[in-house]
Amino acid sequence: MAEMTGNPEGGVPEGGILTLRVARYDPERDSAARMQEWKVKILPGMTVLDALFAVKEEQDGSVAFRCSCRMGVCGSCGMFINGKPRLACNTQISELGSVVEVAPLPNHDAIKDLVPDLAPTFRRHRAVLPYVIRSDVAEMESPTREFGQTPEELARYVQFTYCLKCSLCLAACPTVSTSEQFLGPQALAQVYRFVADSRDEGLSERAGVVDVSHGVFGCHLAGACSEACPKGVDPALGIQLLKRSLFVGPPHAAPAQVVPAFPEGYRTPEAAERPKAPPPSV
Amino acid sequence: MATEAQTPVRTQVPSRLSMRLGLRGWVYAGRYPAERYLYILHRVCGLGLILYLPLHVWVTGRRLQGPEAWQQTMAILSRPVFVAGEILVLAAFVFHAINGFRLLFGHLGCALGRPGHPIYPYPVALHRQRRMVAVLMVLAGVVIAAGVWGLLTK
Amino acid sequence: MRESRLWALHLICGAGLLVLLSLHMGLMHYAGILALLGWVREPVLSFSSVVERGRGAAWAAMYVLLLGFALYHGLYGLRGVLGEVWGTPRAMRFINAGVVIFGLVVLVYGAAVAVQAARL
Repeated sequence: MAEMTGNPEGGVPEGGILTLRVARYDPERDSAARMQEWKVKILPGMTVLDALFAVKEEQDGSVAFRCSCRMGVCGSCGMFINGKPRLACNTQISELGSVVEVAPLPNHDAIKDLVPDLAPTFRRHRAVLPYVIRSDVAEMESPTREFGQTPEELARYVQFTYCLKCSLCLAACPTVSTSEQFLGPQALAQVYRFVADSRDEGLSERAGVVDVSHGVFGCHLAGACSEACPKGVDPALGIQLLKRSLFVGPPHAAPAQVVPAFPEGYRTPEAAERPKAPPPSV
Repeated sequence: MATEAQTPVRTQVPSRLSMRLGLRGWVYAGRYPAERYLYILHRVCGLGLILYLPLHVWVTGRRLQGPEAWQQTMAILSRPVFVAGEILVLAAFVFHAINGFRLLFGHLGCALGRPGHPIYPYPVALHRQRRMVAVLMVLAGVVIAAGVWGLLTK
Repeated sequence: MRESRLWALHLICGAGLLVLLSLHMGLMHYAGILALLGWVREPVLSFSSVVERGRGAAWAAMYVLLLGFALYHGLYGLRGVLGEVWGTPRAMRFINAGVVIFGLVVLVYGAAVAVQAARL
């Protein structure tokens, strides 16, 4: 009977033993990080987060880490795993091997053990005005109508909306490693997310934030941010397109039209051709 | 009336451990592919060149003092340590110029592809430049080798 | 001036350097190959050869242009690198002033040399 190894490329077979090394830091006792090692039995489909939970539940309850969704959509569990910033819940043990080293995210302060301080990341994000800005302020604050946007206009910015604010890109960026003033790839990619959004008219306001020293021109195309991004946002692409937009304007010719909203209960003509739902049975 | 045990009031914010890489982050920060190291090399070459420039302007200004001063300057510059330095300057310029040519496209958002819906495995725009980068690096190597040969056989 | 304009000038000077500095480097280090093509008479670094290449307003202008491009491009880059390590507003004021003063000094000196050489 053939035994499934769980990983066709031939990583560590399940049932093996994982050596998990974690950088520990207790703010009340330590002045520097120290490594601590545990042995964990590898289960099918085990992720780094699963391994950390196994340690926390069975061996050492004091190890601290941040997590939430455990499925790669919330961005909470960013850590430096075997030489790259990754999401712990998104990283299979089988792709790493039998020794896994976990440290807190570089370029961030560690609060305790593997928990990074993400406040600077959010501060940078807030600084770039991450919301749609329209010149008609009254309509923006109390909308009475809708924006019209074609699928082509959506495709110009949609990949940048997948940002989880996990801060892996800031951990990877060499400019962030020396400069606290630099806005960072996450915030800059989000600027482009709004510049390229046809509903937005705020390029000049955002230019005031990014067209400064330590702004978008602090990016020198190392590309590490896009390598680290777990969601395919590709912030490096957004930042270069943003540089171009500062000279030639946004990629759409005109801002999205504001159109009357469909009234409640409105159905398109095609809706009549759709099969009707069966009668309720409850 | 029994007094409750009071929880200690923290007057100090607990210390944080800075994981900021600093300048070390420019050298090695993890397992990243080539583009990150091309960027660092570009930076190092640029710094070398801008530090060399004022020296060069001063040395070549010596020609105003007449042929003897010039011969003297040339004699000093043909010492091995200066020839080695010249090779470094040449290599730095050729790499910086050729890599800079590729950066010119990247910074303006050309040759990077267009944004789209992210579908796994996610494309990375800079990877689209890899073939061009490989060709350019080979070109740089050839040009540097030719220059070094020219310098050493002068 | 807005940062984007300063940066655009950095790119333009870079493009200018690609042309002018390649010619200059080519002349200095690839003279053997260029001589084979008949474009240059060796030796390029003899006093008479150097002086001949500096005589006249056109040569002087070209050298000043080359120096100007190189100084702007290089010092903008240096300012960026220093600003990433010491980036506080106060440090940036020092760095900005420092590179501008240094650049002007070298440019004036180099231009003076080029103008004098044009008259040799």
